[in-house]
Amino acid sequence: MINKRMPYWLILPAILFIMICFFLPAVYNIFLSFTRFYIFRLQEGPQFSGFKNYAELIRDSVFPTCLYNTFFRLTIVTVGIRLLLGLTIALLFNASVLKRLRIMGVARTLLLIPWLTPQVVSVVIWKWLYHETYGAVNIILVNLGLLARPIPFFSRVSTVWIAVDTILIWRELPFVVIVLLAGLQSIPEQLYEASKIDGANKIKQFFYITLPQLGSVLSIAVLLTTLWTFNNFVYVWLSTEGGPGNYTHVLASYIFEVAFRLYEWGYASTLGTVMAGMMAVFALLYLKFVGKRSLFL
Amino acid sequence: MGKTSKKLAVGLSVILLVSSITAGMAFTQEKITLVFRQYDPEGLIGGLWGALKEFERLHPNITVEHETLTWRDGFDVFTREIIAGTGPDTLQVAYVWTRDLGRMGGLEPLSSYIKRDWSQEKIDDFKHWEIGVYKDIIYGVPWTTDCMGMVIREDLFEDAGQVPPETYVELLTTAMKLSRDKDGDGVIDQWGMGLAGGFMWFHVAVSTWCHGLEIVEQDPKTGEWSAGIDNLAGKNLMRYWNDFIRFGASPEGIVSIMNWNDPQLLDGFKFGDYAMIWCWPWWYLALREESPDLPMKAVRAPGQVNRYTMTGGRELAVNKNSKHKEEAWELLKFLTGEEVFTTLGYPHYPPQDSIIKNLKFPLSDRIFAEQTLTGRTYIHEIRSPASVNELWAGTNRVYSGLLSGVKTLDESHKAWVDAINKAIQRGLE
Repeated sequence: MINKRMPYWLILPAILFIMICFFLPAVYNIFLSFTRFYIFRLQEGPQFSGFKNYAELIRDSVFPTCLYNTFFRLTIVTVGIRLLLGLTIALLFNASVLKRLRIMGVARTLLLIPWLTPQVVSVVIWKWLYHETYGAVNIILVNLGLLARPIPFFSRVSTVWIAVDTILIWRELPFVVIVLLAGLQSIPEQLYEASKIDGANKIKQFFYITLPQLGSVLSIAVLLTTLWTFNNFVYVWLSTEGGPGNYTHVLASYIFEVAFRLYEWGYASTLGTVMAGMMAVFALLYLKFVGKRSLFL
Repeated sequence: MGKTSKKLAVGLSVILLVSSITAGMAFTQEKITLVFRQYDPEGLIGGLWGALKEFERLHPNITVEHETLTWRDGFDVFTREIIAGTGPDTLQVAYVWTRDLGRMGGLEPLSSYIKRDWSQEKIDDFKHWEIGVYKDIIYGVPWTTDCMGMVIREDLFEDAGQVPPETYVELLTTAMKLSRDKDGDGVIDQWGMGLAGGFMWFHVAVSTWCHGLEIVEQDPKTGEWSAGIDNLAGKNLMRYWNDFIRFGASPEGIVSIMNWNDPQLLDGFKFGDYAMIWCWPWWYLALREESPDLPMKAVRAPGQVNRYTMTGGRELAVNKNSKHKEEAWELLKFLTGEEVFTTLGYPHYPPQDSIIKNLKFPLSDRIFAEQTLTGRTYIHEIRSPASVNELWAGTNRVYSGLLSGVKTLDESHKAWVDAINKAIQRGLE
């Protein structure tokens, strides 16, 4: 006789782990968002303050900048570029020309190098590459005549986001390429052969076969890269600490600053709760309207 | 009770007493492991690990494990440990951390230990006791003292026909004259002044004091604290530092320099990118050791109304969560001893007059040692309700916005005043 409760017992350890490591801290974080908890009053503990923190968030002049930077400059721009570039590179890797030249192995290895480089190291490398005096980027651009004089990329508001986004795209692009490449390689060859017989050219094949077949993979790639980018902290904090001024502050870096530079844990929890809420809403809406169609096609 | 019984009773009592004493001794001879934490990289601690070994030799029942974190992480990591009930036993803290950690309940009050073990003469020998005091309780013992000093490239000064500046006005004009296009390609490649534009706090604090202002001030009548730079003089001070970039004394790229020990600054100075930088004595010593032929010199920091530089330092404290507080205190006492700075070779300046007078400084280092003794600490800011950590985070953020042009001078000044007032308010809540 099958024990109907056995599956529940088997998944119980995983559920306990999720509860302890994710759910309970999240609930505590939501509780803290309704308190004033200043680190120098540690012995008094969090003091319940109702919606004061949320009211402060509405008045916070830095929050809108962080919101805009997170949504647009960090997420939409880099996810868009990664998808376009990633798909282009994946198509190239999937093309027969690389196989004929027998350089697929080398190409894949080179592709993985950024992905294997720790994020911290990536930032350090690129900060030096962008250095005004010693950086290769400036040296090359000046020698090519594209720049009259070197640019301090991380110090100017006109270039700092280009610099930060470059690091992120360089480091995170391989993931998108690999996911899309796997998707491309799973498309049955017969579909292309049949379309050829029907007179479809490469462009029509791309729009009527490749893209629809990639739908589920693309939707997962978009969802994951968007969520990972939205709450990314490393690239912004290590390269600019949200500066100059607050110009590159994103939600994650601002939460860090409020918690560990200004020591307001209550307000930091409020920001974190709001940020988590935004991500949850995005994920739910995405799965409802986009994911369902793509995933269950 | 018979005589025999009495003798038996006395004999048994003696045996019991001796057993308890020896058992107690065995208990105190139990092996203890202390954890000691400090924040300087290997190249800057000299004989510190040797000193810990010497402590172990003198206390055979104690083993000392040491750990190193970075200064930027030290405060945050320890605050999390306070909550978790863990952390090192004896730890190094910055001058500006002790009071905050004390009021958080993270440090063991040391007043009774000090009174018990140290004579008044020894206590009076230390400078800067007031730094580690909160509500009349001592939470930290001064361990080292240092100052931020100015270092110049003598060769670049000579080429430009300049002399070290004595005032802040001269600092800017001299830096402007030292900025040059050496190879004639139309791009400045030697700058007068290297600054950490993303971490202007030290410069800002010192120049504020030297201009007769205070970052935070207390109304003598009402006792209320507020931003001391909420005036035209405060705004002019912001304009002054912005002029370093506006008039080409410093490059725009300094805005992205977040640390005073950034290789862009130190190596930039070494390679002749900057004619002047400010640095801590240990970075100056490291530069000298790395490049003994580098034509550099430490000079007195400039002044204006006053002439100070900033005196800071390290304190030693005992973690409130420590399970071996007495042993941790023993280690603390040992590390503040003369032997550690002299024969054992810990390379920093002690805060005790009696020890520092016996240390032999090379002529070039004497400027740092002298300024350390005459400099100003953050005691005024520490005594305010605001946390110094918050004051500096807010100041750095505001100045980086100003220097990069994200905010205008008026906007930046208002933001600076707001940041300071908010820090005061948070401390009062």
